Amino acid sequence: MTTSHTVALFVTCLVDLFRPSAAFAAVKLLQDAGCTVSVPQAQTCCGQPAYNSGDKKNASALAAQTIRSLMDYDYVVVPGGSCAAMIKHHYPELLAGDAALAGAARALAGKTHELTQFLHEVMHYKPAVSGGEKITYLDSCSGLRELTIKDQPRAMLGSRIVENQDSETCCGFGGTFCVKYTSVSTAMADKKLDRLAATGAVLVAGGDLGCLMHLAGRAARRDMKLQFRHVAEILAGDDQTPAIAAEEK
Amino acid sequence: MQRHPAAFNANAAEALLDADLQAALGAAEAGFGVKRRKAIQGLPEFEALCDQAAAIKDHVLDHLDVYLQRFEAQVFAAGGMVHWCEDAQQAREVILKICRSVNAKTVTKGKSMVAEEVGLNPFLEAHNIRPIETDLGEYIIQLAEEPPSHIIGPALHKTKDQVSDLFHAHHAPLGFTERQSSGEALVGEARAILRQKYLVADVGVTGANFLIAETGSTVIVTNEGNGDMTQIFPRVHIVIASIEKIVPTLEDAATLLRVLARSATGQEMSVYTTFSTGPKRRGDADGPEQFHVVLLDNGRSAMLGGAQRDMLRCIRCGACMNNCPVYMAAGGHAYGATYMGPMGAVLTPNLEGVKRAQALPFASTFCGKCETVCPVRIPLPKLMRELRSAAHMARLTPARERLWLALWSWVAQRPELYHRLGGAGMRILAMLARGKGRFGWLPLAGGWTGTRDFPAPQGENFMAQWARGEKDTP
Amino acid sequence: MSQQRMAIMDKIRASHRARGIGSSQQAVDARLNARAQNLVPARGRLTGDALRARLEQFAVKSQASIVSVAAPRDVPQAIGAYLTAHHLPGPVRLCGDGFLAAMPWDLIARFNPATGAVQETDGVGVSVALCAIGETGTLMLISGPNAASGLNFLPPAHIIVLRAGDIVGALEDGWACLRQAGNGQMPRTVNLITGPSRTADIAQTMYMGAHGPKHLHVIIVDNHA
Repeated sequence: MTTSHTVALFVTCLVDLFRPSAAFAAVKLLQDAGCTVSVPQAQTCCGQPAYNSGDKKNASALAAQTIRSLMDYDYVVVPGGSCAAMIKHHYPELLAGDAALAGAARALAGKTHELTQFLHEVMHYKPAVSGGEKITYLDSCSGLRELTIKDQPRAMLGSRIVENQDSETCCGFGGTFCVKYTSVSTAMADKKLDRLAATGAVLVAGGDLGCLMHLAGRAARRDMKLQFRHVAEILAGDDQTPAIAAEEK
Repeated sequence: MQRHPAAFNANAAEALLDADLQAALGAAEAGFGVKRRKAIQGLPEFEALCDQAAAIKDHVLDHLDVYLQRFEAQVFAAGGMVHWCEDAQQAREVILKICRSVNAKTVTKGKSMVAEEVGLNPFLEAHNIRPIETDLGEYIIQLAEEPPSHIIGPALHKTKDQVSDLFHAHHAPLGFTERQSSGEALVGEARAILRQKYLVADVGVTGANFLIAETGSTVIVTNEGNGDMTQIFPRVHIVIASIEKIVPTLEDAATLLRVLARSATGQEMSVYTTFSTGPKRRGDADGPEQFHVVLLDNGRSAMLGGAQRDMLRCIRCGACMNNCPVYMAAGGHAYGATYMGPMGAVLTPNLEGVKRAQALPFASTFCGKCETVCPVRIPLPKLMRELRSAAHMARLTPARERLWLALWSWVAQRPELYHRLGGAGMRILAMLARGKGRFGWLPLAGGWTGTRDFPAPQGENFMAQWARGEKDTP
Repeated sequence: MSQQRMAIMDKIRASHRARGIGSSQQAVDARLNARAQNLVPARGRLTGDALRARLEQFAVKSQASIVSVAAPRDVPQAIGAYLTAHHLPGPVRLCGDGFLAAMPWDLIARFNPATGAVQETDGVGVSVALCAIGETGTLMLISGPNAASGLNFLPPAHIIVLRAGDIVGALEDGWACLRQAGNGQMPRTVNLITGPSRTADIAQTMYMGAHGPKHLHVIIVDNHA
């Protein structure tokens, strides 16, 4: 059977630097789903930190670089909601006035997908998820509100899911917010962690590494039993890699 | 708490340690969410109505000068007067002039955020005129000598015990010697005291949720009836409102009213929605003899021409702050300004300047909940981002932050260098973590590690591994 | 004053120019004259029994009470029964509306019913509604020579008498009543009342009777002129 889907993986800076296991899991899932996966080398950062800090100049430069590195592929898949949303929603806006790239930005937006959304809605792929341990899902705000990612990861994780209360309330990461407004960010993390723990589940899956690192770090500081993994790792059956911020066995 | 937006971080830290405040905010957060969800369930057309409400406001803004002319003409036709004020000082002086013209000693006030914005109360007091807040929440904070912490529930930050103490201290000299602890008794005490004030006041000042161009009417929305008592009994009724409150017709007002109460408190309609048009008519059984509308610009006309124009659609429902996790952690006083929460984070830099208020639009995770619940579709995160951009371009943001950002962006635009540095850096960090998986402390990462452990990287970064072909691809 | 007015208008127009638009007298007059209705929700388009039922349901939901009587002459005794049941004292202050004037108030003389200016000591105010809006359970009352707005707020109990034929579906229908009543002139005050007064300003808990009436009772008169 010939694979008709050529996918470029846009790794995202956090996954690239801090959690390669999530990227390898994403590659495995895409290949198992029947895709040919390329990882364009000219990718670094989608430019969101610059964009959200008000630095449109650098954000545009990074957007241009990203667009050029991805524009030739059929699909672009991103293991992170906020970066996928940056490409899909904010690139066209940011580059609307750029005669050379406005069209390319719009085109790229049309073929960029968050990982679980792509697997579920485009590839209709459901991996066999082993294990019976309960999982609670950490929705990321940009994934949820900018990309309507809510049902897709849950459909793929199946009956292991237990819902946490007020799941649509922000965890307090917010990019640079988490270090600029530390006390508020930490208070928001604590509220979220208490609600995650109240489900009785130990395993927390999420699609955005920033949120996961922020909560895993706070949970570790509070000596909580919760374990945080990228949803790609769970779907790909990776149970060897230590959870985020967890000790190596 | 410092009354300055730049102190947001310090104010918020203080707020988080205030157990009473956190209890009050927790109760509010739970209550608002439930009520709004229930109300929206009961109106399937809600989202469509919000789209129409936004369109009505947009239309008005595009023809604001003409609508204001029409409104003014209708107020005149009904026997009222209109006063135009470019800024807060003009508004204060106009109101003082009207009060003096009738030798006013006491002025009852319905809740008005615009009156708060122009600093009306201290100004009247300085001129020997006593303003008396009648909205229970405003009355409470008037006694406490604090500003409002929420645009709908000004005393949201107070616990019942705190209100008991306040009333006991201030009402005892008036003959209420026993400290009341039940909410019902406290309300009853306030009612008894304020009742007298309504009937002897010379002037009543209200705000306006809407100004109806078709009829020259001002509209207020309350649950208590205090705004009504304020404007029926005194000889003079003054309405203070900002210019963007115009709504074309009664039909348009109906659409906006449908989304207002639902968004604010989850009610079908507020208990009292009142349309006031001019002074009493000849032969009327009661009503004021004079009707004045004080129209305030104070920066709105300038907003109309720029990237922040959409903020002028705001109908002051408070839904954004009710649903904002930052507001619900820090409370309204942390913002150090008249307006708070997401709408305050946008409006304050516009009214007070980016230099003074830039901390507010940065105090957001851009979770987007505010935009989701705004009944007039204001893209609050986008507006905040624009304000961040204005701060950045004017080099108002901290130099250290700009430096790190510039460095990151510079390296990120050089993929080979980025991957090499990233690979080396992550390998080193992974080694330093020594299998523990995290750092309790890292140099230059104090903002993170002060309260969180920092997850260690796994080793060399993914891009470098991929480039070396460590994993086979078919 | 006109100097400030001109300055503000100039700034508005400058802002419009900056956005490449210009305001239009025609567009504004067209909208003001058309008075077009926007979306009226389905629940504002009920009629007949369904409408009546909705008004009653939503009035009760707003913490008001609502009853019907067959004819105008039954109103005073219905008021007496209500006040007795709730242990509410008089005096009863009647608005000067002719609809009330013809009713047999002597039947509840013990509650001291009287017209005239509302007093602080009045226990009950009795008004006549212009119309009632089924969509939200709202009563519309307007000011006039025989209708003091203070009557709706000062006494701790408020009774609104409503003709059954004055029940309409939506707010928009209420505006039609309003425009008709004044011959195109607005009254000084239009009160849209949905339930008794309340506040949630103390610890987010609801308490009734903040400043306006603590009790709101609606009496629908089924057969009327």
